[in-house]
Amino acid sequence: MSAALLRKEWREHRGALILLNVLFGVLGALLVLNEARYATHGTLMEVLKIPAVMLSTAAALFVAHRLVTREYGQRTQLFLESLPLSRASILATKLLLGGGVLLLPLVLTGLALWSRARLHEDLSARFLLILGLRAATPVLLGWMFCALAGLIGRYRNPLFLLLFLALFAADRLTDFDLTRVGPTVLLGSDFAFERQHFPWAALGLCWAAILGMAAVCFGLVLHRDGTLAELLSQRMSHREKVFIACICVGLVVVISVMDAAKQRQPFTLHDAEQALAVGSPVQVSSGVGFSREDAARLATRLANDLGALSRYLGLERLPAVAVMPIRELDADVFQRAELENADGVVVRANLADPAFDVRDFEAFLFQQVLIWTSKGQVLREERRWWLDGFTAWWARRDEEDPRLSPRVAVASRDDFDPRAWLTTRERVGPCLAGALAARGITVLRSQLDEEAFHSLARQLLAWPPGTGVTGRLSEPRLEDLLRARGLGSESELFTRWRTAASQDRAVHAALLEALSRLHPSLHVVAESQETFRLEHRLRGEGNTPAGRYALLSQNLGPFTAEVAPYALSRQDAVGAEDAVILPQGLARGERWLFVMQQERPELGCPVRLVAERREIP
Amino acid sequence: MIDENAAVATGEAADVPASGAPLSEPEVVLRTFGLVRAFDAVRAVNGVDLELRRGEVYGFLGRNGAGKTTTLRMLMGILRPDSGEIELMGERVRRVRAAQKRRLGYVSQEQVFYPWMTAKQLGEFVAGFYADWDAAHFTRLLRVLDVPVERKSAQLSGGTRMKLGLALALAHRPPLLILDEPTAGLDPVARREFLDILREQVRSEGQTALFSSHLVGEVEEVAHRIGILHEGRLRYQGSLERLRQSVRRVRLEEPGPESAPPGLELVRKERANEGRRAWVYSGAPESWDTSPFPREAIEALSLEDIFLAYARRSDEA
Repeated sequence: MSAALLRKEWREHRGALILLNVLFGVLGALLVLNEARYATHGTLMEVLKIPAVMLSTAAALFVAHRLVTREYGQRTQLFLESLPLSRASILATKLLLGGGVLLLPLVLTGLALWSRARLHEDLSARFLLILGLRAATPVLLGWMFCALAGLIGRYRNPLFLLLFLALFAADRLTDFDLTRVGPTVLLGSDFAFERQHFPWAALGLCWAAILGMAAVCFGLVLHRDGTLAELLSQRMSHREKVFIACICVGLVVVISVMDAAKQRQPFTLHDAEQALAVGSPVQVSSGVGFSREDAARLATRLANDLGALSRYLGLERLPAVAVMPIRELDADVFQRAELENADGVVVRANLADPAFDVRDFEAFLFQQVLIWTSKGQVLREERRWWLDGFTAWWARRDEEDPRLSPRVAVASRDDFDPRAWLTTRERVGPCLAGALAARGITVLRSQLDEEAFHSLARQLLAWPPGTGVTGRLSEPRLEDLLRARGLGSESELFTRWRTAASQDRAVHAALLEALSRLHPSLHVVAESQETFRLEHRLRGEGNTPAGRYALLSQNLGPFTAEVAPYALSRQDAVGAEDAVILPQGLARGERWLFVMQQERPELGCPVRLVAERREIP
Repeated sequence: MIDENAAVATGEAADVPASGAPLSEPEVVLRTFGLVRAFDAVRAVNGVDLELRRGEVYGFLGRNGAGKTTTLRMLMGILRPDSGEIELMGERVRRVRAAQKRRLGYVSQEQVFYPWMTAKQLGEFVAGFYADWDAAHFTRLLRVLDVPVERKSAQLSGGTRMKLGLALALAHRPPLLILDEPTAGLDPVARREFLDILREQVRSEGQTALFSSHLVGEVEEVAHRIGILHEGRLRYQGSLERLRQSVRRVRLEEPGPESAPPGLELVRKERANEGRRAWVYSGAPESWDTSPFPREAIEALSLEDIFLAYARRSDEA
């Protein structure tokens, strides 16, 4: 450590470092003042995670640029080396200063939080020590990494890129899970929850990495009398830029190819009844109320129908399909499982429920299979109605479904926009949305001969999926396909579709009249400055009984798009004058999806009376 | 290599330095023992033995890439010798330590200062590393050298930056000053000013200076003794006068002598001209008195010619 060098660094960087501390001071103050919004695990100290994340990333990068990268970039380290000062002490001074500068805002924020939290929380010294270690270690790790990157000079940006690619490749190609190692464990969901046990494994890993990177830093600075670090700090030549760009592009290609070539084993459901659909297994397991014979029958049926779908659309191959019975789901709610290490489509449904409708289930399963075969391309919003409609129609292609018309009537009662299908889907629910889309398919089918419709379906649902921009550009557009078949524009199709739906509404006017007599309402009521409750109520007009209904709710993340029905929490209630209170409290700034729905036996579907997203004011 | 230290020590070296100052203090300030430093397969410095005595200006001559900067960086402790040792004011070490560096003043050929610092701020910064820093002396030096005190170093011209570097190197009154091609890149006026100041400083403060350059004229002007470095090897070390007396050109008809006469060493064989070829030999001055060459064939050489003879590529020799 050199006091003179410390003074120089302070003089050179004081503006930036003061600004950094002021920014974090403001951030800390905002966090403390808005504690309720951020502290969801019962302690205000959880807020410390936010500055820890910022200091270990953006701030560490900033400080490393100021203290390390600039020194070598301007070649002023040559001047320092001519002074009576060793290279090791220069680096040690910078590393300690940088660490101190980054830890200072963390400590100050921690102290501010502690002074506030201790008034109404029991904060043991052990808990504070655990918390301090969990917050400070990632900051030091981030700082050491950024300092090392600074010493790597012109190769630091390629290093960041390669690190990102390596993590991406590890995530895609191996069982490595970034959320379960080192700093992500320390700043994980139990950050302020764990009060007794030190996360020694993660701490040990991080400190080993910190010490390792510090050793590499000293190695770089001292190796060949610092000429290596000096060499690395020089500007990149054009040839190097081209070379590194080629390496990066090559790596991206290799990772993509390896990822595409990676053959995950088809999912195997042990002790399940199995049938084959075009060579792919369809497995159905038995369960309580769902015998092996039932499972075998369902497996055979699904295999036959999937085989027919595959032949009709010309699918190259089908995924392994597994179906598991689960009693906890509603009969009309189906759930697809996420598979990490195996390949296939695994779905769960309440197969034993008397209200379980195998046709609706098949429509859902066909959707999942088409999503799998198209690698998700069919999920794009502009063609999503095609997926919903075709699968609903295909599942009932051999029979006249008496419930289709009333379903369409109810689903279209507030008009709809096929181009904003996800909005329509959330508003009416997947069951009615499927029926409404199926009406669009029947309208289209009525205007085309079998062969034309068949080719249209193949092009829209079984087109070999492209990826990225090329896939987007090369995929067939519905507008073009319709014009090629002399059906006019997409808008004209939608007009005909709306006309057909209005005819359904005319037929089922009584049902719509009955629904219009129901008056749902949702009110967010303040309980304190920061907390709120939801009151919901369903009233019938005049003497019309409101009946039973369910309130479904989900606290939304910042980027939540579609919410699966099984992810919604459910509260059953009876319509009355008095409001019902949602047991779960709401906090200021949260975003929620609230759905009020009522089962209608004549539809075999729940009718969504209200579906709206709300931000708690 | 010709080393005339013995001659210098006995005062025999016709020690009439360009500055006219006699070598009154024979104490050795710096001595190196077989310094070697290689970069990959290239030996930039190959067994250099320097010797500097108190109060002298030592001119370190060599072409670009001869190994001067590498040698000086080893003397400053910036580079570690692969082998060899350095004796600095009586203390013999492999690598110069920070404590020893406090007794050195260094001006590099490339003055890279913090661009945001003024001369005053640089002085304050550098002062923190030297216990015997003389702030008043630094201020005086800046005034004498005509360096603007409050102007940022990024705004200074190359010559002024070099003067600032000299002021920084002198302000703690180091016994030994190491100057690595300080005049490179300066215009003739700035170079003249710089040399005058250096000569005056060394004379008035009694300091020793090791001054590297590839310009013979300026070395001739300020140096008491010189060393000629070529391809990492010290080819000559001694006084200028003795060098002039030692090296001669001999013009003879072809084919000339097959080997160097006793007491003389072939420095370089020059191209034929009108049927005559020239050989440059070096040897003790008295060796020329007994040489087999006719007197009319022997020519005295200017320092520049001598330097060129030493510094040309060895395959021409």
